[in-house]
Amino acid sequence: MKKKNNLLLALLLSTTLIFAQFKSLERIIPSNAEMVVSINGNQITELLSITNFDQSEIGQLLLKEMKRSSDHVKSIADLGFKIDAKAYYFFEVKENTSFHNFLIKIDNRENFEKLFSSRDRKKIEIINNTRILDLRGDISVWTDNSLLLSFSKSLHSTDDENSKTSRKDYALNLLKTSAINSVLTIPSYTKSKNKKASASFWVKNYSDFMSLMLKDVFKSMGKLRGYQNMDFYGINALSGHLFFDKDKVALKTTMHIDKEWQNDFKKIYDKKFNKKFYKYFNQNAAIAYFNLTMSTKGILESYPNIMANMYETILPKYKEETRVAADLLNIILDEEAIEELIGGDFLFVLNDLKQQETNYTSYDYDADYKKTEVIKTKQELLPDFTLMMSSKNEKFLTRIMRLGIKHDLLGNKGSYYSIIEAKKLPIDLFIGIKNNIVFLTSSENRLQQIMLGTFKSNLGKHKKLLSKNAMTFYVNGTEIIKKTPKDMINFDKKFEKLMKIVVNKKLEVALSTSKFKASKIETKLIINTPENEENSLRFFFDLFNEFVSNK
Amino acid sequence: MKKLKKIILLFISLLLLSSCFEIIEEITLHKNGSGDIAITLNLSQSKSKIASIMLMDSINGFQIPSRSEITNFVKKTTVTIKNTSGISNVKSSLDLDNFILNFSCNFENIHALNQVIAAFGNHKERSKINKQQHFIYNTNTQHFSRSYHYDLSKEFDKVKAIDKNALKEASYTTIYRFDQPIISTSNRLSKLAPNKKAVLIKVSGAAMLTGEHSIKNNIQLLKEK
Repeated sequence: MKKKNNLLLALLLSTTLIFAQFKSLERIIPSNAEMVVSINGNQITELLSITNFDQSEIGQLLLKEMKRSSDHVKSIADLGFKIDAKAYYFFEVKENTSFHNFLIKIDNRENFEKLFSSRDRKKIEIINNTRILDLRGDISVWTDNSLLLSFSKSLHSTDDENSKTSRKDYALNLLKTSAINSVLTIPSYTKSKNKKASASFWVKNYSDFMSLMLKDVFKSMGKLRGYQNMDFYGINALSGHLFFDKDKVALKTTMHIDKEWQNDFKKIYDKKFNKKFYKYFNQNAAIAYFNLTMSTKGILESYPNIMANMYETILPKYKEETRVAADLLNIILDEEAIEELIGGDFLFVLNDLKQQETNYTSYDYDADYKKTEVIKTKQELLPDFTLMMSSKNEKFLTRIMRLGIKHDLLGNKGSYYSIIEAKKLPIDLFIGIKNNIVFLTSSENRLQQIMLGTFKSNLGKHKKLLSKNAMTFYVNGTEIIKKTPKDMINFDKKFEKLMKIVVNKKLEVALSTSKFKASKIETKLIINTPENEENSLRFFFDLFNEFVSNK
Repeated sequence: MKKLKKIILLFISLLLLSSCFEIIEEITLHKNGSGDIAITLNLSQSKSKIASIMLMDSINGFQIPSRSEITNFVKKTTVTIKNTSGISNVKSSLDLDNFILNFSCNFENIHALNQVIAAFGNHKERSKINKQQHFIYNTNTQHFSRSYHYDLSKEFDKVKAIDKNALKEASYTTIYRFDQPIISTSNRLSKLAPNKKAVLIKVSGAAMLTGEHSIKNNIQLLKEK
């Protein structure tokens, strides 16, 4: 059996073409790959040098660990990998086996081989300058300059000897991937590539990928049989890039929406940000905000369809029933009337965090331990916020407010209302309606300014974030940390140390989701880091080092 | 809109992190084994947080009881205790603005006192508490002991780090008064009153849950002829 295998290997590897291809790692990723992740070592080592890494707390910890088994390792450069090159991971499923593969450039084969124990090293097979090591089904194949690591897992519950042999064949076959079978022939992959990114990922089809991952993770649980082929994510290809700029980290992902869902997405996202909200936004009084701009009408029209699609997948037997139910719902709902009442756009602004003194009861004891009630005070952190929601049906809303006053739920304050139930809360709540906007706020003063038209707005850079996206979540981390008294949150010492570093530095987080455009939705997570730092990767690396360090 | 309300309320309650409370257990024990007990559960330091939480139906699947449900529980428990033989003068007050519960009664013997503690648990816990005897008093040896058999450290492992910190502020205080002076106590947190006839122990919630300290105590009283 072994002889036959070796013969096969020799045949597989005897063409020089193979070695030519193995030099370009990306080319041997097959077009069947479900997911590809690439790490741009060149970019990363430019931002964080190998020396910097070696000297850091994390580097030292890692090297200390490595030295135990391989004493030649004095730097991560001694591992034998070409760290400043691109490395890849890809995931593929073949014949009911999932394969997790890594492709890494090697710059010192001997150093790399030292990472294996001398016992394992004896098992290395050499065929035409290619080395193969099979460690209980984990396959490593390498030449002088490239390495393929392949880990696999059977999606069947039985794991026999045959499948282990085929794992080796699988790895060797990968090296044979021809230009026509490569992932580079797939337009959605090549289009998604970005040279400037420090790391990237691409998923061929999100729905398929999720089903496979669920199988891979839950194969032994056997509970998911009915859900294995679910296709209700509505997302086709998914790709993303991570960038480390000088003063910000950005993670940008792009979702391609399935053709059959595009119409629904179009309807849901068919809504413009209510520009009147701008008038009531002041960046100097906004330590965090969240906005959502979606069409209520679109949601109501599409929701039954989306639900029907989902149920059809889960319960194919009841396809007709779900369709009828969906159509019925469409008939009953008056989408336009509801849209008029609830616009589907919200803006929640956390204006401030205030400390307030509150009383509480406690007890004192005399010499004989007889207790007496005493009133003590303590500081509480209370949110000050404003919520805006558009509504075109002011008349109807005013009638609801009057009903609220009649039933003692609301207090009449002239041009606005107070919420009586909020009296049980440590903060007050007020409602006002103006310019087709419903305001809910904790500040009476602010609502008075809004109603009188004396509120001063200041949009700054936030105009773009608010108007261009369907959803934005922004947090001014520095302000929140500053406003939170240290004694109020008893984080452990390590966190406290981090907070002390961060509190004097600019740190803002913004997560935004674009509108639906050209069958795509883009999501951006941007973390602004201090401008005077070397670069954002260094900033986070140093911060993380500070966290692991025990000094 | 209901969801939105929930989100806002949850947000407010998250900010009010300090969930501290105090429990005070006061017992006056006479030589013949009769006496009175007063239990105070004071959550007023976290009243803002509780008030916010109580406007919600549930948090993470955990049902939040309404004001009337709490009132009913206290009423029911009081009735159970009133119907226990050897118990008299049962009084309870519930302040749902400051979240303070005061409860007191007289007991004829230690067995009745154990029944009072058991009444605060549910049915299953009740028989368990009855078996374990939180209080033991021997009229002959004049020896009084307070104990419990829960393994609190196991429960504590389940608590999130941030909640563990909040529990540091919580406390359990026991005050026991006797007719005759105390000779010895086993709990090293015991503080004797100048007249030696009363002992106080105050344990933080965190120390109690980690097992560092407890309210368990063995008290030997002076035998008078």
